[in-house]
Amino acid sequence: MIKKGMRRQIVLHYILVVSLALLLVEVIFLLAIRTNYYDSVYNKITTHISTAEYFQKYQILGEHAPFQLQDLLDRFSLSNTELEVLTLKGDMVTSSTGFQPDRTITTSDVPEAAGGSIGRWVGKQPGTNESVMAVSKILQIHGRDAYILRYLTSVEGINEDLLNLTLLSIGIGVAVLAIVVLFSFGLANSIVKPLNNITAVSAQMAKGRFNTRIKGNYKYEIADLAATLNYMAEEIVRSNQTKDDFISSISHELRTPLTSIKGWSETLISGGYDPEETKLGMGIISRESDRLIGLVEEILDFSKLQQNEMKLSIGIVNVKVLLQETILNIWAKAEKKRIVLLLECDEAIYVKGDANRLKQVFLNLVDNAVKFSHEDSSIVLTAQRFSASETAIIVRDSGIGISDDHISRVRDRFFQVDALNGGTGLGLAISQQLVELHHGKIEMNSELGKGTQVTVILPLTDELPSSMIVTEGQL
Amino acid sequence: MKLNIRSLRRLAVVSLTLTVLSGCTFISDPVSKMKLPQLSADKATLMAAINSFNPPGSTLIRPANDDDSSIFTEDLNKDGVMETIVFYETPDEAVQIHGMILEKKGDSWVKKLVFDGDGTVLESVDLKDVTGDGKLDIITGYSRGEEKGLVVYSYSSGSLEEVLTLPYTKYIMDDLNEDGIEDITVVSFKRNEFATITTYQYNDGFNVLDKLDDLDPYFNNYYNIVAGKVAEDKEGIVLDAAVDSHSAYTYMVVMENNMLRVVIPGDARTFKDQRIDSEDIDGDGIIEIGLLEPPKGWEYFDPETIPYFNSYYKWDGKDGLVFTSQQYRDPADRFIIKFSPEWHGNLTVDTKSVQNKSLKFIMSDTGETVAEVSFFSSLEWERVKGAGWEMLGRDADKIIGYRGKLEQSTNGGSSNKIASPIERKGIDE
Repeated sequence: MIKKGMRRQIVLHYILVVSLALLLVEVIFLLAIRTNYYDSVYNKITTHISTAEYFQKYQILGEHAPFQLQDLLDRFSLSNTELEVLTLKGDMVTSSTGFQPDRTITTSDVPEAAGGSIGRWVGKQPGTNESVMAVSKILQIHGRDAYILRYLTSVEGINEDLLNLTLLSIGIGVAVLAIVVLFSFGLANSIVKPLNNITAVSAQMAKGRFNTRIKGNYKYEIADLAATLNYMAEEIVRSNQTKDDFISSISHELRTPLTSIKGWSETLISGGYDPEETKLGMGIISRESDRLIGLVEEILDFSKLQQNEMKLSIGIVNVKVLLQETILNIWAKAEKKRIVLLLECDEAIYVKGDANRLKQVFLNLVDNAVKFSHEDSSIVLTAQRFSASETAIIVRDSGIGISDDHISRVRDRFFQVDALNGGTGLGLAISQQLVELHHGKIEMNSELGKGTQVTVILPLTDELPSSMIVTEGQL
Repeated sequence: MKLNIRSLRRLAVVSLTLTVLSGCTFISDPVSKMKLPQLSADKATLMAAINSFNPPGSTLIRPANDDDSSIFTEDLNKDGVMETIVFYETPDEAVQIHGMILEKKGDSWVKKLVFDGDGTVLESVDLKDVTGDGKLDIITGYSRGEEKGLVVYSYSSGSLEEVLTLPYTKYIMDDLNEDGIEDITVVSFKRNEFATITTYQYNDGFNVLDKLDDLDPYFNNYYNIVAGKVAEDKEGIVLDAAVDSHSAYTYMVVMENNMLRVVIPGDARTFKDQRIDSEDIDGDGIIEIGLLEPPKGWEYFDPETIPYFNSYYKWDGKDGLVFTSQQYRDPADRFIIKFSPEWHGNLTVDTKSVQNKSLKFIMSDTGETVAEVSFFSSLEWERVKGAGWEMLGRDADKIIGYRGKLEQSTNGGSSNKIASPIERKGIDE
């Protein structure tokens, strides 16, 4: 027997379904044939009776002609049948065998015939135990019911034929089943083999060999499965790559300020104590330390977000005020590249959220915009009602833009279009997660060379309690 | 999925080919498979024996008097072993009818002897003890054209002996002299020449017991002869003689002190314009003579259209007749209406009645309708079915309905069709 598994399952299902169908078809076929066979015989006899009756009508009408049973038998007898003449009660009067009548017929066809219809009975003949069909009909003489004519014919030949047919159809059924089994093995193999192959390859992948790929020309769902697994392997490789890139870039990012700090602190230790120089050195050390702290905080934020430990202090936030603050914070940096920051904001847009975290999001977005904008360009911040329950805050620049290949990945952790540009590659990933914590979403549209538009969609709040006044008061 | 469909398609093609290639020879015409049912084992052995002993080209024949079978199996010589007697015909030989006796030996049958029948038609076969020895004798009637010959065979110890050979017109086996031994009464008739009745009694060979030879031979033929009880304790013979194609009269003959005596002569008293068979009409075991009685009020109608009654009388034991019952019989024998005997003499038919359309039987004193017969089309029948009408019979496209005081049996007329041999034997023209 085949070992347990899909192959056996499929083969067994096939056998089951096909046997059921075959059984049904064969039973119906055999029943129909049987009925047809018996009906043919029945029709042969009834046709003979009606023909003979027709002649009978015009022949026995002589008024006082002697009535002879021999004539009746001659007129009605049918080859290959035994003709019995019975009284209406079933007592045999004569029969074509020539033997003395010695029986009373009690089978169901006789009362049926006596009732006026044509009686039909199939069963075992007592005495010989032969299968016979009896067809009985009443015979009228001078308009009165006189006798019952009962034809008996052996249906052994027919039964033998039916048996042969049954055996043949069973044979055909078995043959069909055998073919089905063969085909179902083929079918099962066509499913199971690729699956086994895919399983083997994914086992390799599980062991860490992500460079193996599922090869072969599969179809439909299995092809999808193979492609998905291959894609998964590729993604794992790529995310590993991204992580490696991150480590190298973060090392670089960490080393740059550390180098400055180390250099200046050595200079200050070894050098004369020129106050000007000392002041400059200390300033640089302090600035580079800030940068290090910023980097480390970003990584900490990210780590918190990853572990769902970010706590938000939720309040009602006035978006306009938030954007104004953002612009103020970025202003200096933008000024260096002579970039103009514009704010187009609808009045009274309030969202529920953590003001500092939201500000962090917009700082990041605007900072990115500044970073990838050309000099003497402008960045537009727009805040407007997007729908009845949502607001859309758009940061649009006319900078270098992002290619279609990269746009789907800029939100990935550690991803940087250009690793030499500095930064952790975490900013946008953090922003994305912060917005999601606020039940919002970030959409990005970009065209390489023309600029990028980032849309933050946040749910609006209907509450306008005293906090609004407080927020305004803080300004 | 594609593989699946492809494999299924292949499968269908293969199975179809198998069915078509092999099926054709198996699906045959069932009618050609019909077979004669087997006989039960003992009958089959007997039939096989008969067929093997019969000369080729011969066919078994049935006697005309009692044609329900062609094979008679009886213990003829009362030795506890069954014998079978069959008659067969060899149309191309000089002797056309042969009889054969077989005896059972264990499980098989052996041929004992073959005898020739003198004639071309086997008129009758009776197996009856007429010699008083307790063994069955074979009484056969052969005919060649108009001439009939009676032969009585006695079978014992494997050989056949002709005990009696006589020409006859009718023969009757009965115990007329009531001595406990069956006697044979032979009626011989030749139109306008002689009409005799002779009774033979066996006593070490057949002897004439008595003979009537003064009967009037001036009639056409005997159309019906019955023997049996003619009175409570009297056996007799009733002979219905046809004068011409319609009219007839009836004799009654009994035996008293071993002498035959005509008790009812064929005269005006038993004359009737239509043939009526004498028979035991009321089932009391005594034979009645049928007479035709016209209904009152129809005296001036065309005799062809008069709906006659059949009235039945039995012998009163002296020389008179006593009324027993009355019937109306359809001329085409489609139905019989029985009437209560009390109505006799008072019952008549409404003169507005027309045969084959409607008949109304009324009491002549009160005018009360006691029975009614009407012919309906099947459409009309549907309409009147509920209104007291009962189906009496049908004829081609007509339904014959009846309503009246007495229940009528709807197949009353057919009872005489399955009559005992002795009654049917008489119908011989």
